[in-house]
Amino acid sequence: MELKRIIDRVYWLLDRRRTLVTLSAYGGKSVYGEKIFNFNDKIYREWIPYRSKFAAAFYKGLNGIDMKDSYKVLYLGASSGTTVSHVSDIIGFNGQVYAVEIAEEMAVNLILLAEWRKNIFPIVGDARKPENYSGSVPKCDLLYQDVAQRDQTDIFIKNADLFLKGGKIGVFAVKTRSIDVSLDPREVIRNEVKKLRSKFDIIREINLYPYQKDHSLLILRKKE
Amino acid sequence: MDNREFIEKARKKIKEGLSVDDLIRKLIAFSDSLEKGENTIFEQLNDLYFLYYPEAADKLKERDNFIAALKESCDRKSTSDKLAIPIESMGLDLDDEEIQLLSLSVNELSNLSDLRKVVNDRLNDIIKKIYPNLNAVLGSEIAARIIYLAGSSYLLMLMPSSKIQVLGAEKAMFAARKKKATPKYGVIYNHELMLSVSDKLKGKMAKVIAAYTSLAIKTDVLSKEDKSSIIMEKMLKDINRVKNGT
Repeated sequence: MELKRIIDRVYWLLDRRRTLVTLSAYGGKSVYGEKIFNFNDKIYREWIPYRSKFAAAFYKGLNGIDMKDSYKVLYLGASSGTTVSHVSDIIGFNGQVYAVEIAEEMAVNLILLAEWRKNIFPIVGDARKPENYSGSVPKCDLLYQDVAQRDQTDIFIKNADLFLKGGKIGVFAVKTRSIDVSLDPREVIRNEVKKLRSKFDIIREINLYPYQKDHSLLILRKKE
Repeated sequence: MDNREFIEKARKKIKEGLSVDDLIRKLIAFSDSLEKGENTIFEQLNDLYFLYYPEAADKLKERDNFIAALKESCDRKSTSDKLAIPIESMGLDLDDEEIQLLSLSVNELSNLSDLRKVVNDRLNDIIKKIYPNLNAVLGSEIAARIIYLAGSSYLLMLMPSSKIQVLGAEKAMFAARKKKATPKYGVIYNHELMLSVSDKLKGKMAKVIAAYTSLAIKTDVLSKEDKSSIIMEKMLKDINRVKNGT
């Protein structure tokens, strides 16, 4: 076994096959049933591509992203905290991830996670109305959005305007099926990209098949 | 910076956000899976019993009859008495231990069935207490299910009655996007008044029921008063109009 670094605290664990892992910031406790690896006295958590779109993007060829220690991250659509837990690993004790989730039952798990992962800041609220939490969330270095709503592009732009620093990265998981079922997925992406173009540079577009169906991940940089 | 403040705020918000609708949703899902489990177990048990006493198993193809007939004892003698069929059987003769196993299984099935009744009763009580108007229009079973399908009573209140009419027929609704005709009714189809009209009038009937459902849930959520007698009076008038074709 050996480790190959992708970005700080995210590695490929190379054995017979490669496994994406993050260096755990909070010990060897499993969050959602993922495997825990001990390697050179450090604890790594498996990052499962079928559970997390962000992980799937790494499996599909994403080989770097501006995300590191002490970053402030705004995460919209945190759900029960699967991906959030890995983001919390990457940004470390000094980072902050503001996790917004609207569904109460999902948010319960998120809050329980935040109890022992102190860099997670749970917010139960609607990402459509960022003004409701704008008082408590500072300007962020990364905006991650995975909300699977029809107007998800508008939600993204609204939040980026308010919270994302210029020149920083936005990660945008597009669920083509929830924007328009009847259109061709490629067409949907093209339309959404058109809307984003005035405010963002499109760095990459990654189709997440076969890990996630009908999903693409867009990596964007906010214009200065 | 500490996240304690955020956690406290989020916890409070969740406490405020949860409502009796969530309980209704969970209870319905529970009752549904209980029924599913009952049916699977019943099929297997009936199969097993078929091996032992096919003549009786053939007569006990209904789940509730099966439970009622075999609850006390499963052996051929008592069953043949109960069903008044000859005791001679072409089935496989089983040992006492296996018959006991059968008995035990039927009892467990009966317990599951009782449990589901308790769940449903509880559900009916909740609906009657909290949504009296909706209960009057739809009956508690459909009322609970329609809240479940809508997500919450508030979301149901916001829906136009045309959407309420086809709640539960999502599959047909999506098919209608392509070529087929739009569905006329969803869960409302199970309403007792629907049984009383011919197929031709069922669409109109569903429209009336959906309209009054919409009215009833608005009354329940917004005014929280029991105006079911007024609503029902108006609804029956409209229903008679549909029936008479005027």
